[in-house]
Amino acid sequence: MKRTIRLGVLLLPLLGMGCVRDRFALDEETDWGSNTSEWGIPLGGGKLTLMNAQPWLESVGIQSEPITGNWEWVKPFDLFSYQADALWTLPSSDWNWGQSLDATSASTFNALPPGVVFQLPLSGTIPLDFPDGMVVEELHFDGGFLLVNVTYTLGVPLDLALQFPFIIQNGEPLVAQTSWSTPGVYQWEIPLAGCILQIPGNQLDGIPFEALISMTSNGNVVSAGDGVQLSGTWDWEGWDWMTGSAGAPAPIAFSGSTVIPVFDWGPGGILHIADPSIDLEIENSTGISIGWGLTDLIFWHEGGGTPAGGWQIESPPWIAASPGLGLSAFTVHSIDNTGTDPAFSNLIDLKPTSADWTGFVQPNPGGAAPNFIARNSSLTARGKLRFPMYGYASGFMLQDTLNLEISNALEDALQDPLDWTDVASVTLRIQSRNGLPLSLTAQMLFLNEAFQPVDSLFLEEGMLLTGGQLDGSLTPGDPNFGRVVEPGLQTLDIEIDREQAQLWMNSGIEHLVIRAATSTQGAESQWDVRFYPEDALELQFALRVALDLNP
Amino acid sequence: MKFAKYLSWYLGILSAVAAQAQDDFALSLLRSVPQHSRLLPGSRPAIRAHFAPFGMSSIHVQLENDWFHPGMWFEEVDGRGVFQPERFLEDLEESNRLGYRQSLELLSLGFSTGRDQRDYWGISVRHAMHFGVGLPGDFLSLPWTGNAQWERHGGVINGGGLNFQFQQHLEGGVLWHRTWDERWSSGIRMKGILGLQFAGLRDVEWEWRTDSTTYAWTMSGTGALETSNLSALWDATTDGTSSDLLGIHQIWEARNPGWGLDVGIEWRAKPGLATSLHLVDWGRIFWKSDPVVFTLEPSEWRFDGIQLGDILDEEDLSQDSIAGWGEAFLNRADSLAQWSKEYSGFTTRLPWTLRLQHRNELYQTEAGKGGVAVQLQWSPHTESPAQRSFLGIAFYHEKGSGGWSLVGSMDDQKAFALGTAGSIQIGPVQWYVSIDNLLVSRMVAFEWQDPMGGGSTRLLFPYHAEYIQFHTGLQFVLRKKME
Repeated sequence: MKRTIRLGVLLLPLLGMGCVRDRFALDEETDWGSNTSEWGIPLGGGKLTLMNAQPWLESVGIQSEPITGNWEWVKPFDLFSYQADALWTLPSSDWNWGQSLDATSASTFNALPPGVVFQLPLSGTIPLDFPDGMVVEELHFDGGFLLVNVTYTLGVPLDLALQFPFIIQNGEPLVAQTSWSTPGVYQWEIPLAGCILQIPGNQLDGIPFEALISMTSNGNVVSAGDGVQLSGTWDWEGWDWMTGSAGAPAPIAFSGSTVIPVFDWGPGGILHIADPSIDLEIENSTGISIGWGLTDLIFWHEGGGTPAGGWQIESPPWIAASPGLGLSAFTVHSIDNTGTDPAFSNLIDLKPTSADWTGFVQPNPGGAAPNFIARNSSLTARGKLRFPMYGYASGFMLQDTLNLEISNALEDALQDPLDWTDVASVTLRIQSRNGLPLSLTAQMLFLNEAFQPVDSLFLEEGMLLTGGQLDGSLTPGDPNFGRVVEPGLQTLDIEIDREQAQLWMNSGIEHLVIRAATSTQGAESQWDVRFYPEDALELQFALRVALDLNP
Repeated sequence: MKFAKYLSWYLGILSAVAAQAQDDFALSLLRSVPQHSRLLPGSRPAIRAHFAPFGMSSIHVQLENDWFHPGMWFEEVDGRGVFQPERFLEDLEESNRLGYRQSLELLSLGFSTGRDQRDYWGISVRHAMHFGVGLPGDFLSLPWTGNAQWERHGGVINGGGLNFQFQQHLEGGVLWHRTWDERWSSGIRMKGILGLQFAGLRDVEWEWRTDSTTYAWTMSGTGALETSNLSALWDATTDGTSSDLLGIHQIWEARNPGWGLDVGIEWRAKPGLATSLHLVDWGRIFWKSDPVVFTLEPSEWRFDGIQLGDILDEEDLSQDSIAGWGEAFLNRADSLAQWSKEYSGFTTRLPWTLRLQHRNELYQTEAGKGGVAVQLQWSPHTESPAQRSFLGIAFYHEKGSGGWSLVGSMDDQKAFALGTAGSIQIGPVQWYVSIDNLLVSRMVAFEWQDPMGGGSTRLLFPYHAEYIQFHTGLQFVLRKKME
């Protein structure tokens, strides 16, 4: 009995506790409680540096200035271009000289036995009508001919010798000889290659020559009045280079125009370029200094044309002469805010789309001076219209429509067993580290297939991407003035709740319109900012998903 | 059922788990059962001799589960079970254990010698195996918290509680117990060990940190996986060439020596009042057969998502978003996780246990004697996911070579266990059984219909039993005259 009691004591706990405490049926209706887990997922990011964007920037004309590294929009254009002939125009002239027999000479010749030579001397000058002050001291030929028209009316053989005392060939005066056996009209080419026209005393009003006409008697009778007529046109063909003075000719006009394709892509807004300029590089390979100026420089914009003035436009420095044959002198000149009226920046503020100009060049602007010039010399002025990315801008609106099948993407984003009913919210976190002095406010508009609005984001307040911070204490002379000293950091959350996600998924959104208004930092205070190749915008995207299973 | 799918998907990852449990305190009080000296080597078996040649003297199975208690996670509302996630989350620890341990004594014999039978000698051979997993609490709670509840876990998912060990070995031991005088006695068991198979994680630290601002992930971790005699499994998982996934044939080729020591001492202040201290399973196994060590050097890597070189680069932007993201994650992990594989031997410690027991005999009658015992146990080993300490109190009664005990214990995780043990002897045959924990008998039933049109399925889970143990044996015992 006692054993039974002890056994009972031993087994009592077992019996007391050996039972099924609860029963739970599991089925489709089982309440599994709420799951409100939250998941943080780094999606990724990227970096946009102006340096990496260089190909794109260069395609729109923006390049890095080699010395300062500043980004600038550059538009090259030609202001004027002249060849040597235009700057030192040598006058051409017609000449005509003749010699005929008088009665005595004719009788004398007719009395001569056959084979005797009878000579007629002739002196003349090929006239040159240089403008006042123009002087040719020495002119070198590398080709060309002196064309002489010879009219010969004598019935006997004729030898003709011409000597030019001022035209030197191989150190001797140029001598040309020819002969004819029958009367007629002949054209005689005297080659000038290698000849030098030298004028003693720098005074020249023509090119003198000596002619010796030799007639050989052959029994034919000549009459008084018969003779030889020489004529031609001196046109300077074949000259290579010369010294002397181009004199002080009349100004030579030029004109031109260029488009400025900067302001025609962004509607509205203010764009102020703090330091625009036209940088000219003038190459002069003539030995003539040149004065020049623009009589009109007009910038055309929506409001019409606005003329630019100022000493940099109207009275720029003279163009230096070449230091020697075969060399070029380069003269640079800038048109910027320091010498323009109104200031160049103010003109650009008008957002011009083109510019027209007229002007002149003036050889020897100080009066006749010793010059030299080669046939292949030229005077060329090339300009660059520079808009450094230094200034401020505001209110520029950008808009793009992206074809994004957002509804389908949302549907595919969650895989079985989850769907959007299990999601309380999805927060897209955008973190920006903006090293650009540029802030941006964006709005998003979601459109369906028929481009009808379905929903929007940031329609009222806008999504702000803060720009980099400037040091407002710096003065314009400081190298860091206008430069971003501290990137703009911002965390932006775009939260989409369950209802919104389902709306987007069920609305057939296929297009996303992004509108963005951009402005530079401190634009409201007209702070000028600069852009550098290393300026970068970094974006990081992350997702926070709050689940709400079995709500 | 959506959440059920979600849950089943997650629990699928956890499906390969098992574990271990607490030692049987109740059996240790039955001194007439020679196996009690395996638990208390300093306590002499109260018999003259025993013999069990047929492998039935000790069959011991332990299960441990200190977190998977689905019955506690449900509450009945309006007659229906409602899952209570907060209960599940509150029940989690840094490391959450599931384990299984078994041992089988192949041979056991013992006998007394000397004057007044002061010495007791024993010889035993047994096979032991355990398999345990420790799962990080942060990882288990992840489906309900996510990685982005900074207010809850600071954005840190700590995987330091991750642990795993599988081991089986053969053990041959010689026990010598001596009663020095009326007050002192001691015992020592020297064990030679042959390790058969091993796989275990070592020095695992792992952390997944989510930045609260950028949501960027930072992973850091280190650790090693040591294996022995399991290359067949690696071959199968890498190229599928092995036809012996468990490496059974390799067991017979195992040459992993080891040693072990059980030692204890008992002091009796007066008759019926004994205090004893016991150290069990102090030893090492030197794994030399087919050793493979996979080591992850301390590393840390950060994942910020797909990093485009240039926002304007259309090639970068043209990647498929989800596939590209996943590929970027894997590439990042592959490039930074420095795994190395070495074929070098290693050493493991046996999972030692220290026990302090105090017995106070309260009565002695013709019907037997009995009393109360208190035991403090400490198992500080970290190689396996075993419990760390517990305090138990027991009532026992002995008569001859039979007796019973009833124990209650509380471990350092405040888990309560209730166990009992008893032995009877009929002639020279002794049968004993120990069950721990009796709380396992409180069950919760889950029932569901087969969605394919079959019948209903019913699954029983203990309501809240962190330890489940069953120990039994049958052997010949020669009684000792009752003290």
